[in-house]
Amino acid sequence: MRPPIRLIFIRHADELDALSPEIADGVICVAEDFANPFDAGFSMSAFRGLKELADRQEMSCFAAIEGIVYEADLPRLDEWLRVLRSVGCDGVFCFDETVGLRARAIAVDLHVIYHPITLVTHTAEADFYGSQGFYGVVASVDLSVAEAVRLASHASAKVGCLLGNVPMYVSKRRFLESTNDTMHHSHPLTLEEESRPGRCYPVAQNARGTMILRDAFVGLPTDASWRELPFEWLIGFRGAMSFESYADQLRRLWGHVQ
Amino acid sequence: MKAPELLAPAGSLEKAKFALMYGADAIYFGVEDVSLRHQSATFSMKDIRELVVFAKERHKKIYAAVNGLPRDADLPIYHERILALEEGGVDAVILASPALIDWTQRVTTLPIHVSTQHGAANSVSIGWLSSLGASRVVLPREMAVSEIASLVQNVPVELEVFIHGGMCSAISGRCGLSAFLSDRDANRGVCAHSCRWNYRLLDATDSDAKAKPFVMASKDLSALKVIPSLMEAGVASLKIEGRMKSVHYVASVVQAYRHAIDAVVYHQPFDLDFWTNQIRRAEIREAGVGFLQGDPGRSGQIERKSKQEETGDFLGFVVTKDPMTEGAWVDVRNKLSIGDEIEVLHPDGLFERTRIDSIEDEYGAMLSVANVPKRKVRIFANATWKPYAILRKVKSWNDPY
Repeated sequence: MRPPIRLIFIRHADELDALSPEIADGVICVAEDFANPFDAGFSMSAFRGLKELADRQEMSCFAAIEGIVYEADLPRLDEWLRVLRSVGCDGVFCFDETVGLRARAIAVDLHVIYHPITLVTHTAEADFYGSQGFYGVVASVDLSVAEAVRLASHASAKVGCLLGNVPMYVSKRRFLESTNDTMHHSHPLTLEEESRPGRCYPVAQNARGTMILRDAFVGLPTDASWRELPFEWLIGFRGAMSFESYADQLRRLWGHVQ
Repeated sequence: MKAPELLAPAGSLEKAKFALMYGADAIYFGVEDVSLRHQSATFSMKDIRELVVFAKERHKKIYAAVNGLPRDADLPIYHERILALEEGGVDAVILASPALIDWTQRVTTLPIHVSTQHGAANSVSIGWLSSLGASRVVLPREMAVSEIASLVQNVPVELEVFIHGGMCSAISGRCGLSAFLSDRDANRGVCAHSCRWNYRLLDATDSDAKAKPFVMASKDLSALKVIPSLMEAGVASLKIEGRMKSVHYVASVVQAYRHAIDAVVYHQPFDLDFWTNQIRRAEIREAGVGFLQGDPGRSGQIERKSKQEETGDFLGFVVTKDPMTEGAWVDVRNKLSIGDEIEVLHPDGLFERTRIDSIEDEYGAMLSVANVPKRKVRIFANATWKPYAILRKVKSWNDPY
């Protein structure tokens, strides 16, 4: 059995330069028009450059189209899909199934992977999306690792698993006084719940809404090597972490640091 | 103009009947273990059969919410419930999982409505759900009337829109806050409303004292003033949230929206202030139009009050008219005393004010006060009461209704 492909979200092209096989097999770059609040995203031209760089480093290069797609977003989505196809993007992770449906409708041949954060909770759901032309799905972050492993083992479809600073809240609403207070700020903002002092949940906001992350880095079961897990992709969500800290966490996860 | 369906929540058989009596065209209810409101999912198959008869006699519809997100081990019970609902005669099932939509379409003849949990917000996604067999899609609560109007023109299914009640502050279905913070999975019916808890916003460089309160609790939705626009847009169904709310809430809110819809259909005047006030008598949370008129901004969506108390206005409701006397048997919900001046809401929309002359318990003993909730007492008053009439406090005799 082939080991899972380890992918990580990056924010800058120079982070791709700094990657080594002990950290990841490929990268995920967020499309700037559909960015989550923790990733400003890449423009279409920047994505082209990144893909060329990834090819030279023999790394996979995936895109992510985040957030709910509204009717007014469809023309821009079409543009993105055509660009991603033209540059030979290895696949597109999408929060909204519309991305896969639209790609098929406009005959853009892309590997679209449905990652709605929560909704894929059972094997039949994973396989149903597979039957509808999706290349794969990402298991719900609400599943335990054991449940996610079971889903991936039983599904015919390719299944990914989200790791790292996993999102626990996605909203179209904006609660902070200014978007400049979030990811562009030199210091990440966190939330502390009244009855859980000391536990701080990263929060960020952009024009499309607010995202809150778990406070702990979500890893993998300690009793199994990641190489033997039945997932197609192990996806490191970066959240508010610096690249150095993120890379360090992943090295530990893959067993390169004792 | 054709009237859209007015769809009301039913947390119990009793609430379902009140909703239908007060003007709802249809009600939706949760099904045990498979919907998003476990505590309110008190409908047994016996209840459902009784409700089906009650609704059919009045040419109304009932929809069953099976919109939880199952794990593998849960699927057999989802399948079992859906088959039982078809057998029970419900008019549609509300589903969130496309795989379940596909299964239901293949195995039953039930009409399928897609839950807002699925998050379908554009014509591509809605068109796909239609191709899977859905006849209606419930839109996300983060859409403006202008967006909804555009969608109505471009999709082959009915669209349902939330008009009143509590709102997830997250995108429905995409929230793991409750599951992570309290091990209560919102997508399996046990949301702890963690978005309404108290948080502090911290900057890594700030001292603890500099932390600011952070509120992400959403105001409730109240779209009474937007009803004409939604009807103009061609929405098929207008949905009220609140399966956990009281009979008083269900009746008051349904009645207000019934009048709002009928005023448009029959070109009648509509007293927005009066009906807004009627709704406020029954609910306790701050409300606004949400995203229906565009992005509400921070002030338009964040609830400021952290602690709110019940209004206490709801005194009880008439169960039956006593055929032997002028009295009526009343199900008590808050303290009632002889001499109380009360107002009575009738299902047909009439209001009246009266004074309680006497109270008897079920053994005929005279009481000066009835203060045991859900106890049945016989009340004599200078009024003609019918079943489903709601009794509530008059705060001041000179106050408007």
